[in-house]
Amino acid sequence: MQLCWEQSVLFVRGSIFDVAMPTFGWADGSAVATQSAAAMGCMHMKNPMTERVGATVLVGLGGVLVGVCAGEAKAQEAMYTQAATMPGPGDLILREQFHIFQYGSNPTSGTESTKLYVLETNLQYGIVKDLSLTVRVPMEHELDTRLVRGGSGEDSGSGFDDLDVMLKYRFYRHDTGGVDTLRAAAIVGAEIDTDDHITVNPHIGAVVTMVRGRHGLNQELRWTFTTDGSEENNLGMNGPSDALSYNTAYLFRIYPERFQSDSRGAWYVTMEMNGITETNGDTELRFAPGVMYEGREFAFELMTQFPLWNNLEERAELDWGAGFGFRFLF
Amino acid sequence: MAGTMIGFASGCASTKGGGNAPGDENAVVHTATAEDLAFVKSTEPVSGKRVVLFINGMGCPLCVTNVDRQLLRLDAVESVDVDLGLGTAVANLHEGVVKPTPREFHRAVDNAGLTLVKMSVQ
Repeated sequence: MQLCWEQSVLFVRGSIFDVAMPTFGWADGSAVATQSAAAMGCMHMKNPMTERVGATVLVGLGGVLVGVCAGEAKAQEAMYTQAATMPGPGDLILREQFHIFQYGSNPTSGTESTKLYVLETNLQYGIVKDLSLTVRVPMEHELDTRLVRGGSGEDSGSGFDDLDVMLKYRFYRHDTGGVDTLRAAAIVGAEIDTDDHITVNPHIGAVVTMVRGRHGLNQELRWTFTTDGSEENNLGMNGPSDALSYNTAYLFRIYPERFQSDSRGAWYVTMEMNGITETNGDTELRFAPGVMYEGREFAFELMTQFPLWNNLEERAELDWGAGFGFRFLF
Repeated sequence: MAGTMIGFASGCASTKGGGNAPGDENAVVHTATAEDLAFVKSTEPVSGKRVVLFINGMGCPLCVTNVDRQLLRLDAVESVDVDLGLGTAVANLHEGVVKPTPREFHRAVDNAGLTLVKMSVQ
């Protein structure tokens, strides 16, 4: 997961002593990036975009267009925690999320701080009843600040993080009332690093969703078997250690108190606890409060994230995070 | 699973209002009789202009779209009106064509990830 600039297609400018924001380019940026990469030397990026990923971008954008035209409902799901919900057979869900994370100093890489911007596209397709396929395509821009010769310099880089492909199988559903339900699903998939050599980090887990009146609860447990990664670039789940992630999301419907015949949407407050424990001993627990609006053809979510408790020896800890997301149904 | 749920509910014959369980703001709890269960499994095409489906598990506005789309894929279904307050979906049917069977309605709701408790044809 460590790459040099010359392996990046998307990136245009940036150097440890050159505090310059990168310029994004989709097609003509490729050649410029390759030339400037050779001149600027090497920088560690989590997963800069490669030519192979370029094809993924086109497929992803195509998928986005398809998704916009054939969106489907995926409900009661908070921002950072999975839910045991999925589209029906033959239907597709599009979900776009934008995240900002501010991290503190990294004891391994020596960076003073890191700011990470993530634009995440999720496509979930219903294969058959109770079985869906999810593809997650995250695009990132990372800004690292380092102390250099008494001052500070910045590294920056953009590209695609690991592609995540996941199957979700709902093996239990118990609908006890008009809105009440209890569901459970198994999830199995892999994060795929589309670098020069493809590496695969499999993951397996389960998620439980319970809705009772105005209250919703999602719980997710996931184990990731890591086959690559580096501690220097690790911001959580990116390191060489295997990782257990455990997420809990509570959703409370603040309006309407009861659904009426003319109800077209609902407002929720959400509270999440997001935990990661890696086999190197690093453990982090985050708290993420937010709000969410769900209509019948549109949904919006807004979230913040703060560190609650951590014991991190190898990587940077989160200072704060924020994000928003949209779901469109046509 | 849907069949199991209906099985749990058999013996009770009502659609109840909210507040019938401690701390439960649920608006509707649908239940079904043995006759309701038998009818939902029927393979005879329905007759009538519209079908009212009583659905459990429809917990959010976006869920409405799930059941809406699955029902619209059935032949002869012209439009669907979902009522979150009542927990029902009304399928309006085309005239002069072969209508879906109750079992097909059941399967469509099941594909949407919800439970069809009972249905009535009007």
